[in-house]
Amino acid sequence: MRAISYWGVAASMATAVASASITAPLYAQDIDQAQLLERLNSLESEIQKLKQQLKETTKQAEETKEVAKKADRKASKTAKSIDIVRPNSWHLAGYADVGIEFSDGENADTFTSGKFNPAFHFQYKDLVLFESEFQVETSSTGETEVTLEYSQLDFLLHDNAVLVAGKFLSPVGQFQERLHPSWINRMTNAPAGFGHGGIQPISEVGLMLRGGVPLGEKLFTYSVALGNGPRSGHDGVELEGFGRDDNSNKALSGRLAFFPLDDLEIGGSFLTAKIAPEAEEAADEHDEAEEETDDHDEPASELAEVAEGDYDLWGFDMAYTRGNWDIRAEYLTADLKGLGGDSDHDEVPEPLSWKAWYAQVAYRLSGVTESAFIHRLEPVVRYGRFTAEGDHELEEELNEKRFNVGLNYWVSPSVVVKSGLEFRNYYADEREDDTRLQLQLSYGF
Amino acid sequence: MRKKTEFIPFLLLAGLVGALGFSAATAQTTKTKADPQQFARGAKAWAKNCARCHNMKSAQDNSDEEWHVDVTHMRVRANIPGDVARDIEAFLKASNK
Repeated sequence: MRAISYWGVAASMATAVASASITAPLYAQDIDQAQLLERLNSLESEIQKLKQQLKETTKQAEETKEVAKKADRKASKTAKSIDIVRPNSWHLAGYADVGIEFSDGENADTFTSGKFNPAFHFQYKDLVLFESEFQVETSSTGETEVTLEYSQLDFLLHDNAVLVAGKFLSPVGQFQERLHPSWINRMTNAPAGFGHGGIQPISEVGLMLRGGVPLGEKLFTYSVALGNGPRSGHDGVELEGFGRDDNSNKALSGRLAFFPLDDLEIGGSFLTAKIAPEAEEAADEHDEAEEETDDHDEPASELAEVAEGDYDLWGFDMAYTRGNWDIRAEYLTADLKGLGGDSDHDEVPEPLSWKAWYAQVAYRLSGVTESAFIHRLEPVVRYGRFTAEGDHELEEELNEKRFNVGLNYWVSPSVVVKSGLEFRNYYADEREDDTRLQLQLSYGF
Repeated sequence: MRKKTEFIPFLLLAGLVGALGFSAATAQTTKTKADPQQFARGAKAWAKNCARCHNMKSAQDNSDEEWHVDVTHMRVRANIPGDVARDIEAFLKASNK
């Protein structure tokens, strides 16, 4: 009996535990399902949001891609348009300058209107280049003067040969052909005996063959011209390029140069021609009308009376351009030997000769200090002489020593403000020496 | 009459040189491919040749077409050999962007 009761208690307890254990999990399951449903709803909502965001991002990416494509197309179009070099291409260059000059000599203090020199270059493929430069300036009497500096066709024959035809700058020496533009010239004017009124030929009309030929590691250059040549005139021997010849003799001129070092150029020049008497020139009325009449600065001479003369010119030049240094020197000498004079009376005119030379040193102060102002400065000195022999009047007019000292400020590589003092010492006793203060602003473009 | 005949050889010479020149120039129109060292050669030649007379302008001062013409102008004026001029032109065109 006691045993049965124990089993009964145990059975009751087991039943109670079992019933309790069954009812508790059922309740917990109800709670989890609700949470899961809630989470599911939340996830679905987030997925929807993400889908929306993805859609928007994709849309934006497409739009960005389209913009990038457009930009790329535009960029390549721009690049293509820049890179195109048309068969007929051209370029405008040149220079302009203005200035002021104070003098203690016979000349008045004056503003100088300066010059405007536009230069046009037209090129057809790699065959031919046409180039021309005008000089426009206001004369001392207020008139506008237009001069054709050069107008030439350059046929690119070969890597080492170019044939030039037309009116071109004379290849004799280095100043006239390369250094005379005011944005290149370190001084405000030309050395004595160079430039207009000097013995260096200005230009020539005819043909010229020129080029550079490598000799091993060195370079040799040549320029040989055949042209109408100089004339005699009321201004002496006129070395401008004339549109027509006054005699059938053609002038032969040129320059040969060699570079023993990369920075050193040594050149030699020559010109040989016959000078016809002015009487023949006078017969050509339409040419005579085109002669310049503004000769106030030019020396008068008796050269017009020379019947037929042999004019021979030669000279040499050097240039050393290394780092901050720019050192140049040039020498020219010319002779005119009269052949006729008055043949009826066996008069043979005295031979005439001219000499001109200069040496110039410029040093750019870049790198000397850390000052941005100082490194744009360039001191320069130049000394030269111009002399004539054989005609007293000519000697009185021309013979002079000229010393220049200057300081340039380079605003940019082709814009320069030049200041300088010029001391002119004339050989003639009756001529008063002259000191000039010169300022010039030049812009090369 | 004699003077005129004296001038004939010059005319013949000019005509011959001109004819030869055109044929040579026509042959030159085929552009050579730029070699990898052309830029370096051009930079060196640019510094060496241009500074002989004037300050060097910035490469960005001109477009490709302008440099093409300007370099030819300087080739003639300064007697620069054609191959050197092409190196300079290639350098300037690559440097003006």
